Order: sequence, then structure tokens, then C-alpha cells
Amino acid sequence: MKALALLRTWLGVAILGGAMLFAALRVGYNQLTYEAPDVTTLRIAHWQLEAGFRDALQQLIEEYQTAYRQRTGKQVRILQVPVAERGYPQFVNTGLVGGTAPDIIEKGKGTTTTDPAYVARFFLPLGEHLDQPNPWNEGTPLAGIPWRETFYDGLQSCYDRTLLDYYQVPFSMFTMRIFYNRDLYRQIVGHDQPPRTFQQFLDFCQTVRAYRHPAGTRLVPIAGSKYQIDIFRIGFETPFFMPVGRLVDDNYDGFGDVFESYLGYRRGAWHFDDPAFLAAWRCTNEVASQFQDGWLAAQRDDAVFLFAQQRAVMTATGSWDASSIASQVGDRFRIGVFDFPVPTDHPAYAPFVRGPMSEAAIGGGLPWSITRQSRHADLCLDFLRFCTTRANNERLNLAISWLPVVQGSRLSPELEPFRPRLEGFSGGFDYRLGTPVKLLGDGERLALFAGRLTPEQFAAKNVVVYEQSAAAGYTEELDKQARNNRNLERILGSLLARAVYAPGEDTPAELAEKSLQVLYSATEFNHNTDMRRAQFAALAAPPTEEPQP
Amino acid sequence: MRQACTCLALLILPLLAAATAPPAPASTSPSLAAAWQEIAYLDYRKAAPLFAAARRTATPRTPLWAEATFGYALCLHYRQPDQADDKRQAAELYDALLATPAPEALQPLLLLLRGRLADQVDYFGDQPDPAAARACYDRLLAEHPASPLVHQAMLYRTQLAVTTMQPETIRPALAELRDWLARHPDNPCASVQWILIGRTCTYPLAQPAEAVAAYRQAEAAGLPRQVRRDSYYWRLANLAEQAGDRATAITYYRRLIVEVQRTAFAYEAQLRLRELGEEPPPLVNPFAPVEEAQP
Repeated sequence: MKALALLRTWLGVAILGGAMLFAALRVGYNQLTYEAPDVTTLRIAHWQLEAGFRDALQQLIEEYQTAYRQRTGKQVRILQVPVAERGYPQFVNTGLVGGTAPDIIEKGKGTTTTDPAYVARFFLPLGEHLDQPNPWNEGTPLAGIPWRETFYDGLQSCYDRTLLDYYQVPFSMFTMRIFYNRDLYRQIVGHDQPPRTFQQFLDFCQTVRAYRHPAGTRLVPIAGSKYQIDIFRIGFETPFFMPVGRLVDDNYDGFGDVFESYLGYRRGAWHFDDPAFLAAWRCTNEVASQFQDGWLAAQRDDAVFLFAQQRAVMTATGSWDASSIASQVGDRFRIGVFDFPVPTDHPAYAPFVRGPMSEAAIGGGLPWSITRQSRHADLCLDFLRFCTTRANNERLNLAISWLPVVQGSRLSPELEPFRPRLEGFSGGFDYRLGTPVKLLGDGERLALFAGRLTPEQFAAKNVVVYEQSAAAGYTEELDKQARNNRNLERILGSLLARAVYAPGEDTPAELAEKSLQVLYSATEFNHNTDMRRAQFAALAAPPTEEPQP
Repeated sequence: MRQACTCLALLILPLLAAATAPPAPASTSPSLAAAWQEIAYLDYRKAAPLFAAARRTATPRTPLWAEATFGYALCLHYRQPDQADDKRQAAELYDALLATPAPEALQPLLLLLRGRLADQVDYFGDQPDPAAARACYDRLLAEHPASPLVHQAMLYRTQLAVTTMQPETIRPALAELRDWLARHPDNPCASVQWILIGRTCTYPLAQPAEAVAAYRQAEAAGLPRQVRRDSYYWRLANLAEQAGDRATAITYYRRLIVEVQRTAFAYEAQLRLRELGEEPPPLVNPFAPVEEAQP
């Protein structure tokens, strides 16, 4: 009783004291970790919680710390700050606004990392550094080459066309493919070579449906969800639309944009119930019919779980999920990967498909930016350079089974099927003009792929909405384009004025180059807007000799 | 090509040198330095009160006052949300500066920006005033012939005609621009001026052969470094095919494959070359594991 009374009296104090002690130790530990004397500390924040990523990055960090010490005699410590994807925007936004952001940030998610006005304010422009060779490449075949040019795409994808500079350096790139259970596949068809044609793919799905598993488990050909359907849609639907895009492309940019599609529609170049459209939707529908029942209610993880549990033979996702899937599967079965078999062999679909889409211009992912508030920007830059030598980029990506982004890096052997495909077409076709058409597409497309709407019904619904709203959507889109053009004027105004009064961090030559770049873009965009306005007006006018380009 | 870009940048240097020449030196006032930093961040809203405060405390008609007034006018011109009152006030400030002995180097820029303010739709319900814009550009051309901004003014002057999309209005304007280019072939805006001609020859003039010629001239004049070469070559090759210029089409399809490499157009360029009876060069695989870099 006495002990109980004592406990009652002092329990609160003990908890409070314990909490205070824990907090003090934690603060002390953080203080020692972050502010240790004679050690420069950098923090690098990211949302990559996939299996193996943190370990692989940590290994690179430790190698850099050693290499830096050997090179300079000084100590540097780099701390990872992994943050869950859901909380990442808040973490980054508050950090940047409050001045407590890490030195290096994975760029994306938060407004402050994507809105050009914030990007210019919070992040260092990297253009001038990317034009210099990466010193860590000395003694390698990439020595002396501008850092920018050591990346597969010459960092084209990282150039900010609003701010006219580079604000990020990528570590990886990503493609999407179909994953399959090789052991199960062999068990069903007697070999593990994946289907090469669309017909073989469909035939295999039928075989799976008919297969009686020895354990009595009923197998599903493809594990799907709302997430997977979009991956299949990109893989199978886009090749159908590409030729239509070419048909209406009157500015020769290789893409049928919303203006061109509307003008083409009005002159009868395409229609929603064209055989190509119906075939595209039927094709994706046919693939979706091989998903498990109730896939519409499933999430991405549910589909991966179904695949890992060997209740589905295939699933589709990006190379970013490769290591996570592998870790979920463990050694229960071997995973294979193959490309989407575009239906160039199928009697009903082949007439509308020329081939797959090219991935030759694929851009870099996993982009890192240096914050302006960092007191060690040079060190951050040096670390990013270290990570993007051929050997280091290769090692990082091999460890996590992602695709490297530096020229000449080797792929992890199991990722060979993810290697970007060169033999393919470019461009596309976008008819989603105006909010009602977009809403219809987003809402009813799932009903279409779930088999609740036929392609003909989907087309008929589109016709009604498009006829009613596309003209208004056209003018809205024109206004949007005019606003974008005006943003270019704002940039040009800034450059011209700063050339007179405040060159700041840009040299006169850089300001001149940027001015010319903006002037080029503004001239192209303004002409495009004027042209689209005139073409739209000509539609309403009585038929005359309107020149067609 | 990099050399061409460097040359181009060097050609533009006089523009900036002229603009930065006395009596309009870079700002020395700390408060204005902060304001210009906001302009560099494209945050005209934050810069405006800084310029306004400096303007209130500066002695009128001094260089500091002119700088603060110009900065404030610029903010009113470009800050968002775009409102009629702001634009009207910006026009008044530009006009006031033009009427005073503002720094010499500022005058051409004031005229150019005043012209843009009249030229463009700046807010909901705004009506462009092409006559007023043209007057500003003409004045710049007449009064400051040595300013490198005259080339930009000439571009905008031609755009005033192109915007109408009326062939009869456009043809004389393009002729004037071509004449200008003949007299100033190396001007810093030459490539963009040729681009405007190329686009206009494509639409509304429907003259693909002339468009091809203009685009080639633009390339020769030196395109900005960040122009997407693959889109540019693809457009040029397609227009050449449309104009029946097989040789040019072949040249640009080839260049697309050989020079650009990292492009989604390369495979289709190969197919086009075969259709034109040419054996295409092989695709370069930029993702192949190689020993030598492919800059």
C-alpha cells in the first residue's frame, strides 16, 4: 500500500523527469551531431522511403566524407533527413519559409519547390556550374566534359524554361514495364520467355484464366488498380492516338495539342467514334478485363501485394518500384520484366498502330536542389558532383535497382528490360479541351475500362460534352496561353531592367543570353496564340480562302 | 554550335554595355539593391513598396529618384494581379520619366517598355493600342539608332502587323523586317527576327519554301542555346518536304539523328529518310554502356 501511495505521489514527477531527461539527451545529441566542432554538417532531405534507397545513399555519403577528408584534410558530415511523402510538402515549405530548410532538397511536391517565383527565391541556379567539368571526373573518360553533358539527356529535362536556368541535378531515371512471376509463368506455359506480341500476351492471359493451380488457388493474369490502369493506358493507348496527332499537327512540333485537335475536329479530320479511337479504348479495355475482380476499389499496394502473394502472374509499374517489389517477393519466386507488347500484330488493332512510343528523350528523375540558405553551397555542389560521376551514379543505382542517369553507366542486369527504348515514335494527341471534357475523361474512363461503358457509349458521351463545351474551352485555353505569354514578358522586363541597374548574380553575357532565350520563346508563343485566335475566328466566318499551312 | 552561341552572347554585349553606361550606373542604394533582388526573383509585388519608399525620400530628378521611379513603374507594369489602375499609373510614370532628363541609357528602355504596355493586353478588359505602341517603337528607332534595343523594337514593330494575321498587312511589314535584316545581318535579335518571318510564312502566308529559308537563316544567325534542336530540325524537315525541297528535308532528318541523338524523333526520321529513298544513319544509343563520353 505504501509503495502504491508512493507511486501515486511520484509517478507524474517521474514521467516528467524522464521526459525532460530524454529531451535534454536528444537536444544534446542533436547539438553534437549537427554542430560538432571542426565538422561541417550538411543535411539532405528526401521522400524516398523505398527499400534500400537510404542505405545506398548513406554508402555514397560515407564514401564522400572519406574522399573529402583525404582531399582537403577537413571533415564533413552529411545527414539524411528522410520524410514521408505525405508530410514532405509541409516539411519543405515551412523549412524554406522559416529559414530552417536542409542544405540539399529533393525537388518536388511542395509549392516552394515547383512555383518559379519560389524556386528563384529559395534555390541556387546551377547553370554556370553545370557548364564546368565535374572535377570528380578527372582521370575518367568524362574528364573535361561540361558536367551537364555527362548526363544522358544533357540535362534538357532539368532546364527551367520559365527561369531560364538549371535548378536541379538528377540521380536516376525511370521507365514503366510489366513485371511477371517467372516461376509461375514457366509452370503454366512450360517456359519463362515473356510474350513478344500483343496476341501472345492476350493468349497467355487466357491460359492463366483456364489454368488450375495445383494448390487450388485461382490465378489472375494481371494484378491491377486505378494506378495500374493508367500505366497500361499510357503503354497501350498512346500509340493509337499518335497518328491522329500527326494528322492535325499544323505547327510541326510532332504533337496534336488541344487547339490543333479542335480545329481538326471542326474540319472533320477526326471524330470520337473513329475506328482508331474505338480500337484504342477497346484494346485497353481488353487488357483491364484481365485484372482481378473489383480492381476499381484496389490501391496500388493492393495490386503489388496480390502479385507478391502469387495470386496474379503479372502487374505493371515503374522502375522506381522494382526494388520494393523484389524485397516484398524475397526468394519466393523469380521476377521477370518485359516491355508492353504494342498490338502491331493484332488483326483488329494493327491498322491503327505504327509502333511503340520512343523513350529516347526520357528525362532525369530524383532531382536534387541546393537551397540558397545553405551556408555551405560549395560543399553541396561538390557532393552532388561526387554522386554523379559515372562510377558513383552507377553504384548508387545498382544498389537500389534504379536506372542510372550518367553517360556510360551500367545497368543492374535485371533492369535491362527497363532500358529506354529508342525505336519508337514521338508525340501524341490531346483532345481534352476545357474542364467538362477533362472531367468526363477522368470520371468515365474508369467506367469504360471496368467494362461498365462500351467504347461506343464512351465516344457518344464525349461527343455530347465536346460539342457543348469545347469552343468555350478553346477560348479559355487561349486566355491561359496569353497569360503564360505575359509571364514571359515579366521575365523579359526583369532581365532588361537588371541589365541597367542590377546585374546581380548574372553576368551581362548571361543576362543577354537569357534575354534572347525569352525573346525567342515569347515570339514563338505569341505567334502561336495569334494564329490559334485567327484560326478560331475563321471557323466562325463564312468559308473563304483561309490559307492552310 | 556552342561557339556560335558564345559569339551571339558577345554580340549582345554591346546592348548591355550601352545600357549599363553612365549616367545610369548600377544601384548603390541598399534599399534599392533589395528591391532589385526582388525583381530578380520576379516578385514585383514585394519590390514595389521598396521602390515607392525610396522614391518618396529621394530628391526629385536625381539619378536615385529616376531609378526608384523607373523601378516602381516597372513593378506597376508587371505586378500581379494585373489591374487597370496599376497600368495607367505605370504609363504615367514612364511618360514622366521620358519627359524629364532621365539618364540617357534609360531612355530607349523606357520607350520599349512604354510600347509594350500599349501593345499588350495587360488586364481583363484591356484593349491594345497598336498605334501608340508603334509610335514608341518608331521614336526609339528614330531617336536612339545606336541603342541595341532598336533591334527588339523592330521585332515588336513587325509583330504589330503579324498579330492582325491579315496577309495584306503582314507582307509589307515582313518586307521591312527583311530589309532591316539585310542592313543589320548580325544584330543580336537576328535569329528571333528570322524565326518570326519563318512562322509567319508558315501561317498565315502558307509559303513553306520561304519559311524553310527563314528558319535556316535563323539557325545561321545563332539560335539561343536552350532551343530544342530536335523540334526545330523536325519542323524544318517537315516544312521542306511540304515545299518539295527533298534535299533540305534529307539534311535535317539526318542532322536530327546524327547531331541531336537524344531525341524521340530519331526513329521516325529514319523512316522518313527511307521514304525519301535514302539510307538513314544508324540510331545512336545514348543509354548504351560505353567507354567514351558522347558530348
